[in-house]
Amino acid sequence: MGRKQAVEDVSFEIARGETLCIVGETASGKSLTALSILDLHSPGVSASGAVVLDGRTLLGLSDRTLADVRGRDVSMVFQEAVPALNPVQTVEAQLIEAIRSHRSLTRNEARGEALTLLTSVGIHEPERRLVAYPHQLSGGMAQRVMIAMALSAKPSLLIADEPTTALDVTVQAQILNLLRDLRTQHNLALLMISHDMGVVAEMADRVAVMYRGRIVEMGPVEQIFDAPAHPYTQRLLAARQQARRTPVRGTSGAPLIEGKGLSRRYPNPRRWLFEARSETVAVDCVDITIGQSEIVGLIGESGSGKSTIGRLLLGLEAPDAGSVTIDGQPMPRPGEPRWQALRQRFQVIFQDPHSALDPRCRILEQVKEPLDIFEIGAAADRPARAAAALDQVGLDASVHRRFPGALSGGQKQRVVIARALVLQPRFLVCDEPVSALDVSVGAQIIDLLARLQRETDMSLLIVSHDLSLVRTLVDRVIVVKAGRIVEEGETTALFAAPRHPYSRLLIASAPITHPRDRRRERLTAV
Amino acid sequence: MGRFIVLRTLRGLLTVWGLLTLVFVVLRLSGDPLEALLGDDAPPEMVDYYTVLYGFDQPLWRQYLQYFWGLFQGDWGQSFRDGRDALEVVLERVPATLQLGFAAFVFSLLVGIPLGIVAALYRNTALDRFAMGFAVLGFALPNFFIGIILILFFSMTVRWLPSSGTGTWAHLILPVVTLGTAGAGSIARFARSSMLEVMNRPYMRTAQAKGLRRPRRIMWHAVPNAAIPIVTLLGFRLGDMIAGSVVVEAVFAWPGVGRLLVNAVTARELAVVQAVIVIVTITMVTANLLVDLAYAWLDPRQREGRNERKR
Repeated sequence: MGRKQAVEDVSFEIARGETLCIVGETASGKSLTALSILDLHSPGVSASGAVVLDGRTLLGLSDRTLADVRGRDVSMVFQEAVPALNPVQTVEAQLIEAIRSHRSLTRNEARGEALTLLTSVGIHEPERRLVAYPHQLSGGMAQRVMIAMALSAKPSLLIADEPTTALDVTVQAQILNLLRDLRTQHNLALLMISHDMGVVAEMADRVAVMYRGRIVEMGPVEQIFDAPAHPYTQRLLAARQQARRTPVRGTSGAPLIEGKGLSRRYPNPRRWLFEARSETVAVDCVDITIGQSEIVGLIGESGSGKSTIGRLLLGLEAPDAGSVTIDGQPMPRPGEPRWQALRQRFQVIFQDPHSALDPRCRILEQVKEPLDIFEIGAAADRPARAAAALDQVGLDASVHRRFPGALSGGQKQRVVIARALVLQPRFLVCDEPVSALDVSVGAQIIDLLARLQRETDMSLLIVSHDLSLVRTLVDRVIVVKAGRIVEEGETTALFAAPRHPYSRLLIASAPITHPRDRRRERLTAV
Repeated sequence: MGRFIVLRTLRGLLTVWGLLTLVFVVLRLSGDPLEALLGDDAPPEMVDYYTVLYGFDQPLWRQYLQYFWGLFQGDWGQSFRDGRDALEVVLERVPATLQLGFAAFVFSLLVGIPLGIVAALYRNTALDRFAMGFAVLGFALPNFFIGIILILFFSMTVRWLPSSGTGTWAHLILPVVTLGTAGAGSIARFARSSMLEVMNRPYMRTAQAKGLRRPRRIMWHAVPNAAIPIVTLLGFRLGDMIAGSVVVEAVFAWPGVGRLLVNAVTARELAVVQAVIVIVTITMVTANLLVDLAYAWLDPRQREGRNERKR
């Protein structure tokens, strides 16, 4: 097997107290570049060139010698913090280990230091968190622990590889604030890897844009945003600032779906034989209406119950209380004749296109399958119909005979959309349709959804935590928090003047589009 | 946790009951126990006498109820041969089997786990291939074959070790190696894949980024995580040690439960076979319960929300 060159001729430098952001899309080589600094690659990846820290060459040092540099001079935090922590050890054990591997402290002193560190990264009740295991922490909390661990030996360079990508917007804003404060406090050099121009606008002093393993452009953040020289940088920026789609109409006509007083609870597992069974309320007394050919956005953070609402409206789950009506008729039950018709006309698109397709089934076959199930048209015509649906989402005949593995993430999501479209749905639920995709690819998918909605006149429910997506696509926004609707309204109006404090927080936390909008102390930690 | 143990114990009892019922029916339908006991040419009066004595004249369901009623009162039935209590006959053989099974289990752990870890750490090197070659041989070769080869070499050719019997530690070596090799092989393969999987986890990269040296990363971060799936396998292996002893005890004339079972089945010693089944099943169920407890101890995520589902 030949070796693949993933990163080529990449050079940059970074000073104390400075933030350099490397920005680029999936597989652009930005993470590999960051990992090269400490030689943290998986086996089989090798780096050449030079890494110099305060005059000392790092690349090529033995693992033993590098071990002294890692964590002490240069530390790193990763994209997903919970899996980056050892699941069988407490926070305390992992923090103390990090502290004691570089400083000669007793266990007790190290424990005291761990408490100080946790406090400094904004963790309340640090005593309680010390004895916690990683799975008991939220994503944001775990990332704070990771940051505390990274700072334990007072490094001069902190590398943060997509530190907030896996987090909710409000938590992202807090973590970014924290990183900025710590950088100033410790006079850190901060190297941030990101795919999100919003995060870059928020954080960077200088920006390096990576594309296909090379740095195609580098410069001060304002220059990159105001006068991007490279076409790829221009594309990245354009993806963030899409034209606002003009709403086709107001909420005209009869409602397609109406949910009244919807509630859904899940029982928690009992820990003891006679313990009373507690419940998690996922959806709590929600009234929701979706009009004919209306695009509604459902926004909220993870665990807010927004996906459950989507499933209730689709009839995939039955509510514990309340009812769903479709065209004024009650939601049919499985087995009733109307149930089959409903399954055909109500479709859903999932977040992760990689797991939503059968890896061992050819693309055309997968798109044709729903037609076979519902016995639509003559069997001989079905491949043509499937091909037409693929054509509609911008995929030509070259993909028909391929397997999903040969397609990019954006292409796969198009296939998923085509598979839903082939049944000519009246109602399409898109559950986080672009969050697994790169920004510029996501932008294309959004354009596609908007165009398809115009062409087919279906109703769309966009479930998302991504405010910029919701803002550009939907007619009406519904904000959910802890299973309840806290605010709803026409998109432009709601974004311009959010009434509920939570909507305000969400909107304030959304990444900015230009570095000049940096919010200094606009947010207080929640 | 309390609820968990109670549930598992109840489920274990259910397993014992189901298995006993199966064995009870199969043994009685597959042949006449008195024929095996008395021979073909026994006089009819004698056959009648024993038929009534052991209750074979009763309908099957009544025999079944009587047997279980007896069990509840501590009466496990009698051995046909010498009229001794069946449980007593079995229990006197248990120590020998436990000795063999436990020693073989420890042997397979001591060989299998280090072998698997080393193979994972030196992946795709000669060391890895050697270790995995050994593992494949270990579980591909049948017990009796390994046993006979070992006897041929160590007892016949070089005459270092006894080929059968019991008494000294030297008697233990060949049966233990024979019984433990298959276990060591599958444990090694499992330990290897478990280690490889863990080595690629994000927290291993964190450990490296923290500045920990390789030995510490492996012993403190990789091994404890890799141990979790291995423990599951150990439960099955522990059971296999007892079940596998049937063959090994026959090859090495080891006076344990396994050999007793073989003899008892041939002789249609109904009560003895049933008692052996109860004992073996209880061992299996207990082993699995212990594994689940060890699981909870090793993995903090298991301690709470056992069936927690993600949404």
